[in-house]
Amino acid sequence: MIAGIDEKKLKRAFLDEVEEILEHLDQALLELEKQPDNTELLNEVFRFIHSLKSEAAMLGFTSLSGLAHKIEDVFDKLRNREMSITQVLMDTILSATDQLHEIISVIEKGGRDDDFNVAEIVNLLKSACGETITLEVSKEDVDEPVRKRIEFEKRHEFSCFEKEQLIEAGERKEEFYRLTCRIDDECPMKYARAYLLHNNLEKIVNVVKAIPSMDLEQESDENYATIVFYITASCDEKEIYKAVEIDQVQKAELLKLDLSEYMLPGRKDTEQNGRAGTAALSLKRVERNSIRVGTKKLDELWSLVGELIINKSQLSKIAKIINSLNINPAMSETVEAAVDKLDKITDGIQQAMMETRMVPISVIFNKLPRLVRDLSKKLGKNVKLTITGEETEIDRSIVEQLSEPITHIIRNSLDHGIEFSDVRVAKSKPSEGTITVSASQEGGNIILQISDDGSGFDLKKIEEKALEKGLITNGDTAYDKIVRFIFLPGFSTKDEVTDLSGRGVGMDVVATKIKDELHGDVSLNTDPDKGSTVTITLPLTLTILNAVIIRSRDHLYAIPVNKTEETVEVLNTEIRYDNGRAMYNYRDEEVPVIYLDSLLGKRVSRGEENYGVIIRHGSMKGCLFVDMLVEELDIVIKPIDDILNSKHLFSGISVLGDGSIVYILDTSSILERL
Amino acid sequence: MEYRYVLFRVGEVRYAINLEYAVQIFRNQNILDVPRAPRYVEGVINVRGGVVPVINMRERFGLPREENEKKKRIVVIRIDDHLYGLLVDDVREIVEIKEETVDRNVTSVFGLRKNMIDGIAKLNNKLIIILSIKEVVNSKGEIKIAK
Repeated sequence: MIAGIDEKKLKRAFLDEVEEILEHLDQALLELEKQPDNTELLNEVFRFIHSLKSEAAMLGFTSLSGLAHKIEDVFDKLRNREMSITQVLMDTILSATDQLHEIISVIEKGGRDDDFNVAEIVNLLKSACGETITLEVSKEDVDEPVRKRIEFEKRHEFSCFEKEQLIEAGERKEEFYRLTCRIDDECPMKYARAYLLHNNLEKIVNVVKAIPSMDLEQESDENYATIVFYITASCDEKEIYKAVEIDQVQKAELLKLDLSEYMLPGRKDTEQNGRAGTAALSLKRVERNSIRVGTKKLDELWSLVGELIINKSQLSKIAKIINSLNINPAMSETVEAAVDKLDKITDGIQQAMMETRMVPISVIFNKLPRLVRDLSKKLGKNVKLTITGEETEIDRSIVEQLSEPITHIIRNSLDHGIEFSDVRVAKSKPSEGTITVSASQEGGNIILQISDDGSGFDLKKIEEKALEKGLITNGDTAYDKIVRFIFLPGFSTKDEVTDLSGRGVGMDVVATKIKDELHGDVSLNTDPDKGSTVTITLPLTLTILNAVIIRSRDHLYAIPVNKTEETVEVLNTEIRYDNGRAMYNYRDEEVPVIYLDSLLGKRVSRGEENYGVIIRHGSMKGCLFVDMLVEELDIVIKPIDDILNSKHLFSGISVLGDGSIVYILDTSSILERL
Repeated sequence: MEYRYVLFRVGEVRYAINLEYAVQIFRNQNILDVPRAPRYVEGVINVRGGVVPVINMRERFGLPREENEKKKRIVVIRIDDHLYGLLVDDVREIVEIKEETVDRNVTSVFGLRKNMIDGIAKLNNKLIIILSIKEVVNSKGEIKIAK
């Protein structure tokens, strides 16, 4: 049987595959809702569901495959025009795919799919295609042999998907066979044999259809005594016979069939209905010129690259020292050239490695149409979503954290921004609102913009609220200043709290996440009745940090440059005490002095002069006193183990070129504890 | 059936961990201390560009420090993809222990809780405690070895 490690790998591959299928499926479904008559799309959805079902069955996820099977049934009926897409049906299907998502995430976390009760949704799906099911019940008055023949023909009939495979095989000039295998009556586990046959065949030919099917449905083991495979192959017949030469397989019979006979009706079908749909199908399977590599492997490789960079810079330092000694000019030149070359190569490797960390932002964007659809329905608003630049690539670790803020901004736009149709018409705007989401790369940054053509933020209200909270004085109403309040914690102007947003945790949460965790920036542009635009600027990667290296006693520490304002020299006489608390006047602002030594549990040594770094977090500032400012450097961030960071002083750790270890200070946490 | 173990000593007691955990053994490494870390964290070392926390096993087991602490050997182990260094008094050797000779149903020995002991074996008439090293490393509370 499958060994533990393989099972793990298998499961990972399965999850990767299924997540990809689900993503395509979601897109196709939303598209289908807009064009319910698009046959090509229907077929596409059917295929996605079908492969999902097969994948799940293969790994024995029966609840998952069972649910997929029911959805497949619905689409089978839709394809055959036995029923049509209604709003209710669409909602049912979408909630069924939601369940698929949930089951997958449970499996991903190591759970079992049978922890899930899919009965309810399965019943909904069943009732969705209810009447037709009763019609299909075989009539008792048909003679037994006739019934058997009908059943045989029905089972041997090719589905659209299978017909398509035949067409493709025809294009590849493959031969088409029917292979009948008989398994020994005495064999106790016929399914296992059949499965083995199927697997062996798949290695050398394309199995279009197996009867009975291999999908682990409720077929009894006896049904696998005789198994019929329809296959297309380009290899020799002998090889096919060899593939089925398995212990306890008694007889194998290979029959060549005429491909054109079988695929003709299918061909006609797609040609009739398919034309209109071809343009809509941008979702067609992407050409596979890529392979799957585990993210863990990439991370390992990445850490090796980090080491390489560190060692390279150490080598350059050594080379410089050697050259400065001026021992042998000719040799100095050779060393310099070699180091230069190494420099270029490592740069190249770093760049290439960096690219492997990059994923297209479509990973997030693809989820948005569904979000907008559901929310706008719920709110009773008419909204169109436009997405551009979804191919823009960004660091995997950033993408993972970006979903939440983007979702929040869009919710805001839908809830507060876009007006109801009648209001929009009264403002002589198109009755349908538009939300535009775009991504692009500018230099070392990724720019994301989310705009709507709604009512814009109510600046008057914000101003009133700011006045009320004493944040501004009368007359101090510069646009820039007012807009900035929107990102302040607890600042929300929506009078009525809704289910969606407006609970006082709004843009401020977005801003904190983006600024502090993703090292980015966020800004807002708003125009009354014209709409608003949120612009998010993000670094390309989180693994390399531009930092100020400082020294305190025997240790080196790093402070992220984007968390600092500037470095200052402070005389002791400039320190003022307020209730025993040291304060420093930095640009007309009293900021608390933080002694790094005491923070680190060491005795504070005080000189006449102090080096200070002004750090900030949101609106908080502090002046961090350090022993010495060393240099500004790009460093490679490594996560810090919990047992080293019980006081949450650090956000990471890094190793410099000479091998010395640097602790990266978590300035946000340091300021928050003041 | 027999497994291989790394044998080491902390105080008077011999311990073993399954060789599968072991990555490397160092001696005389430059250990950098970590500000505000728990006492049993001796510091960090740089292992192939990675920063590895070093756990002082004497401190971990509540034994008094010795003078030459920093010069002792470090057994680098891997637990769930994290590397840790174990600062031990002495690393003896790598031994094979027959599974039949291991008592896996140990309750508590020398004040080590049951979950930290993977078993007890006898080798050349000497008692060896096979540590459930993952529990020892991840345990937050104090461990006190009886003398």
